[in-house]
Amino acid sequence: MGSDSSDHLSGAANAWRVGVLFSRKGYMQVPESEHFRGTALAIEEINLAGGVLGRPIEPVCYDPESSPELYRRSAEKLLTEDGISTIFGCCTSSSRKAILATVERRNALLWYPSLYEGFEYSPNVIYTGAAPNQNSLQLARYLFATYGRTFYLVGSDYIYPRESNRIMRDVVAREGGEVVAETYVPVTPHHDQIRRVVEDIRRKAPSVVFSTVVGQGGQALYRIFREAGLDPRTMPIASLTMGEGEIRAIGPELCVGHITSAPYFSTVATPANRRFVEAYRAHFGRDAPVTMYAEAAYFQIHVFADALRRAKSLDTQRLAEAALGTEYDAPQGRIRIDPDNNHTFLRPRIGMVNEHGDFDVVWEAKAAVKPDPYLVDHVYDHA
Amino acid sequence: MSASSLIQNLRNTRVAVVHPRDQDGDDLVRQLQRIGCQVQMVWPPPTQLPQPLDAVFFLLDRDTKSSMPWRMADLSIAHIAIVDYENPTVLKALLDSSAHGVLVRPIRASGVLSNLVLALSMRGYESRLLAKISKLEDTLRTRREIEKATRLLMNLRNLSEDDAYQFIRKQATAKRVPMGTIAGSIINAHAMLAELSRDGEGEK
Repeated sequence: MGSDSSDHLSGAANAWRVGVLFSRKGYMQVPESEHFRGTALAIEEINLAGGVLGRPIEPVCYDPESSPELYRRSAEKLLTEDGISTIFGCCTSSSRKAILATVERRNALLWYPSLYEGFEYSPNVIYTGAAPNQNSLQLARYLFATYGRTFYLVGSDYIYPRESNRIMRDVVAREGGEVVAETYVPVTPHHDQIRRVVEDIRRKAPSVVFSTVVGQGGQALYRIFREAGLDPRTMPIASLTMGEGEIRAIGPELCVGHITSAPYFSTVATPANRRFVEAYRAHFGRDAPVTMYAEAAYFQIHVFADALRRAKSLDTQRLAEAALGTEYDAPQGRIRIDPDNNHTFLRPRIGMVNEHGDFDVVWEAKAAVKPDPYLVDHVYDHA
Repeated sequence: MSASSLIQNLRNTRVAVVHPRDQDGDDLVRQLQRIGCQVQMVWPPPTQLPQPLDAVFFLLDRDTKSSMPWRMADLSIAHIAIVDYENPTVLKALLDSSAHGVLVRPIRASGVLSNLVLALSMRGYESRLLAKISKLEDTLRTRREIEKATRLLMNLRNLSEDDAYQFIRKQATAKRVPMGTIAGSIINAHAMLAELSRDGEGEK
């Protein structure tokens, strides 16, 4: 570490310094702010309890404003100027891919708490969000059984939606269903573009819409869908990303009946979740929406702290080795970091939006499912 | 094979890794397992690869003979070389190896899947081209024989070219064999008859 950067350390030379990269601005503001809050809450809990090995965790935070380029520059700054080697961050796949090369080159460790489309493994990343075998497959099966066999796929035009839709198209085709349309809107779409999609949905009248439109575009889709008089209770939009926070932003009354597949909803009934929801709302407001984004960001800090306690070092190799195989009672239930692929055993669930803007869990897996980022084990075998 | 079927078949893909059991070898085997392949590690380079097999990753030394003692031409499997440097000696060995893909050490997880899929696809393409070539060669050879048989029939029976050809075709259809077979038997029969008459003359 250079002498000039050690000036930053003046406050807590003794602290475990870690980087935090989540957007508080831009089109990913809602989910990434939830990532940020979950991260902050867990760090505070650990520090109040005396830190790790008697030393507090000190987060160094930058706001990449939903821009992959800012993500790259901030990561570069954390790893070089700030002398940090552990980063908690990223939500979209474009932001993760933007910093992956830097993280690998500088042998840092990225803790990534979002669901994504799979087909990735890096020894420098711990993935704590769902892989497709932990949300898409279960969702497809549920939709088939409940709503019917014609799917309308719509997504934002970038890597996660295109890949997720590809997976969904495969599943639909194999199960004997039909994709009546697959269409994309820009990452920050104009409302007219969303309106055209909704008109097309009305014309094609599918059993269900599978949406991978993320961020504000997704919120606009749900709003315009309802404005157009389409009824989520008979033709829902199903998603892997739409959480309680965005439902709140759209207006719960417009969303009743829509479907999300995720390992966590605020209504999950575990003791750990009751404590988590209470602590979260005590910090961020009585009405604060508690989401999968907050939950994964929260538990991954605790997993990190456990690993750090054992590794006694922020050295990437030692920390990663200590984290692999770790089990933790997360709000969603017991999770485990899979040493085979650095992803996490998670419990798939399907939720339906109710009038309070929460999700009623309408289906859940019997146990946590082993992550399978390359979809080695095909769903069809277990269907 | 299409891209999606290549990807969907990954877990049925049988891969051998000819590499010492060290960090790079382990990293490669583990990534192949993550991808879902059925992997086995082999070292030192064997004269015969364990069969059946779809692809082999092999450490390429300066010398292809010692790096890949198996006969590549006999095996319709994808070959992916692993090299340490990219200097002219290694590049020459790489070209000699006729590999379908290459990884550079240290091995990173990313790149393994693209190389494997590309190599399998290239190998598949190569197989299809080879099959096509041998079929074309067959057709060419047959065509020459049919022409020869046609000429024989024309001379022996005073037929027009078209009639002679139609005769061969009808025989082939009736006997349910390729035209080349009929042509071949006409040529053989003619040769035998020619020999018989030569022998007969000798006896006289």
